[in-house]
Amino acid sequence: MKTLKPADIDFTDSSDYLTDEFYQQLHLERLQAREFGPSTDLGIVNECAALLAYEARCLDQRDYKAWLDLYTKDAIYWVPQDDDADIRSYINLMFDDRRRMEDRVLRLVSKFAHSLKPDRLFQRTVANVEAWDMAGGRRRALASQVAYEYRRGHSVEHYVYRTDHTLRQVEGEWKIAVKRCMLINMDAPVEPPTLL
Amino acid sequence: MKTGADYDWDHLIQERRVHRDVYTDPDLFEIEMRRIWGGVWTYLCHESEIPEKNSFKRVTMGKRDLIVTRDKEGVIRALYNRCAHRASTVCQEHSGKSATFVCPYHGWSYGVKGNLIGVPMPEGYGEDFDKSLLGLRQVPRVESFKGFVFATVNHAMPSLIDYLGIAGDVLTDFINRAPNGKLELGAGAWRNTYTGNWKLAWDNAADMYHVPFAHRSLVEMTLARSADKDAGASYARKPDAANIDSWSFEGGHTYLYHRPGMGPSIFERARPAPGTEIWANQLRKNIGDAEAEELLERVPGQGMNLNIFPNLMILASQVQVIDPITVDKTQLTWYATSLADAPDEANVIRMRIAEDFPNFGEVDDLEMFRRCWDGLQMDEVEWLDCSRGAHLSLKDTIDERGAIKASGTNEHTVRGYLGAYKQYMQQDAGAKTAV
Ligand code: FES
Ligand SMILES: [Fe+2]
Repeated sequence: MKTLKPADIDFTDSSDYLTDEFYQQLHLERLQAREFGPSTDLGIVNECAALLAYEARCLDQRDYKAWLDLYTKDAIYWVPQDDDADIRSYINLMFDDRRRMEDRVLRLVSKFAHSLKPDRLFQRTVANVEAWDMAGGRRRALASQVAYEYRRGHSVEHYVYRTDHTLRQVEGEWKIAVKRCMLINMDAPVEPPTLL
Repeated sequence: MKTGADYDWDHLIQERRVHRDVYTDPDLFEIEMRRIWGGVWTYLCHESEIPEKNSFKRVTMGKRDLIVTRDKEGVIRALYNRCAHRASTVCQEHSGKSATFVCPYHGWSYGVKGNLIGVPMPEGYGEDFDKSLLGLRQVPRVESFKGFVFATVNHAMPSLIDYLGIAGDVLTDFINRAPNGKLELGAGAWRNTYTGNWKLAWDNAADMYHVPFAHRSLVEMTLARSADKDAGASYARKPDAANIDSWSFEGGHTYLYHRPGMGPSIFERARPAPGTEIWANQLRKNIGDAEAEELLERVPGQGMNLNIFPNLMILASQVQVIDPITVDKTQLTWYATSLADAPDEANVIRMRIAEDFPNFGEVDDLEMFRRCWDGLQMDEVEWLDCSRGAHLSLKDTIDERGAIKASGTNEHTVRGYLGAYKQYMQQDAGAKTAV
């Protein structure tokens, strides 16, 4: 694990993109993913699979600076509690804009995040990657993931979920604009996951 | 099976300490599931979750799996989810709308009043087959307090309003922070489990003492972003210097009021949530600055924890419910609430603020519960201390309503509810089954 200090984070001070249109777009894209046919361009699939595997490794290694760098400045990290709900009037298990993602990381790297002590170990698997090029230079990648969290001396918790990534190019590099993680048991009581 | 009379309560619960068995004894847990859960008024759900006729919601009250229904006259009942025939559950959904519950096993069907409507192939029963005796069993007493639905199987309990006492007034204040007093559930919930006894969560709910330590990661996170190096965090670091009061009410209810430590504006003090600025500005544009500021103050909820014994906790804008599963497993459900009569913008902000604490605060509380549970496994070390503030004279701390009031970190809240708990565990009436 790399030590990350608050000073290493380039703070985002405001949250200026979560407009009504933005929420509606998130919702439309969520519905759109239910209609996708098979993905056929293996080149795109492979590129996305590599990115998803790298993101998984950043999280497993708790390299949160590298993880944040994978995201756009107007990113959304999202774990719904009900994947049909209008989230303008409904809560999510997690719903982070860039600013809140940074807050999340700040807490995780603080020496006092008791929920991570003794050091939690993470391991996750990314499978069934499918990917498509979309209009407007965007890319979508769907995958199936399992994340394991081991707290020394206790059992291994596991989280089973589908992911839906929307990617966009920023200065020639693919970045994550939206990541939605749909836990198979999003409506059930769980020991809260650290990050999916 | 043991009963409350098999325990020496004056030994287990003393003036300044409590015995570990109260947390760890599985037999004692079974007694609680009758004498406490359903033995006293126990919160079931909010009326807004069963808004129409034939709406239902499934809840647990201790080990009872109940279907809370609303009939066409608006009467709310709590039916045992248990077929009168061979005991199968008749409802598998969490909530929904249905005029009947049909048992999947042999097809007996029941109405929302619990009445047995019919059985397939009735010719197989004799003339003495009495359908009126074979309905779904129901909890005999169900009452609402301003939308909050409670039940008890105990005929000896006073009315709900008397049971709530001053806690009912505080609950009313909380409800009235919603415009026109219109507060609704149905905006989703977090459901967490932890390894440990339910009382670990209950103790914590009126504990201001743990905040600077258990929540230090949250305090550091808040400070890292803030230009003002003390911004709003001082009360979390030195709660006793911040005019935070705690109360214990008759019946085991407790209350923490931290609003005075939060500065002039709760809305300004809330950690920045996704999109807050945009939606607050839209609100100001739509309804004018003055009205918007007034409403925004209500959006994050209230700086308070109100804990209605044994399972309902109100914190900020959320309604939290404790469900004990086993002596060492507990479920916590945090229901988001929305302001039914406020413009949409207010609720968008409210939802995003409500996502904050479960993610950044509760995770460390849950870790503390797990660790307490680990510590409690060593039976040679018998006592938990709850003496903080016990040296002070309580007669100086009775407020104008007759409730005990002290600083936020005083453990009179723990001593207070344990006193009530001790009485409930010794009473007989709670052990009676429902009719
Ligand atoms: S168990 Fe329900 S109909 Fe037989
Ligand atoms: Fe806490």
